[in-house]
Amino acid sequence: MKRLWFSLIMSFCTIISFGLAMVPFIQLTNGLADLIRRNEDSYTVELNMIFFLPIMVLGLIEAADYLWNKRKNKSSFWIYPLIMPSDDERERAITAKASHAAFLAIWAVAPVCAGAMCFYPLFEENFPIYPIFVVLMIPLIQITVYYLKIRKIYL
Amino acid sequence: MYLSNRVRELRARYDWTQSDLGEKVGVTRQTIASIEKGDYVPSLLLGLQICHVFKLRMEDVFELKRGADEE
Repeated sequence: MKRLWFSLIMSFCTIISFGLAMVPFIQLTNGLADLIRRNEDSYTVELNMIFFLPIMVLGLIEAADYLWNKRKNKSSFWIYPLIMPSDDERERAITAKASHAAFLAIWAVAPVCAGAMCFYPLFEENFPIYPIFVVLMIPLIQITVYYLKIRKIYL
Repeated sequence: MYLSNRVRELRARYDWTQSDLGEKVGVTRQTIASIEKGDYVPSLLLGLQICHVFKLRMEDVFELKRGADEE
């Protein structure tokens, strides 16, 4: 059960940190868009590296945890910290049900997020990472549904 | 209809823990616990493996029963 909660929290943190790491890129493309609009020769842009810090720290924590529990981990490092229990037929059946529920969640959430993107012009000035926030809502809801279903294995 | 089983009783007779039985049939302790509680219906293969370790026939371990509303 501990591993389940650790995995859920790390998955949440990874997605949120990834969203934060996108902030400097939004600033970069905004600067580029200004350059194209104004047709200027010189171009300066500031990249705030602090936004990369959370994803780098998380990467180190996950790499350390992955190596520490290497014997237990059967899944690839690239999908870590996601867990897909498949030790026996019951775990495989519950994982399959959880995956099915997560798929249905995407089916429902994706159109809602597409609709939410229509409001982007309202937030463009004050909340430029709005599109990233909306897109990352999809995996956030997906993993929430997946873990709520999969916790049955450990009950 | 539901499947009742005598796994808990037979396991106690052999003085095995859930983990012992799980190891013998290649599943986790939680799966044996779920089967005993009736929360999980094992596959035919797992059911036959359980019967094999208890040296009993399928009908001696598992029984199909009618629910209260089907009587």
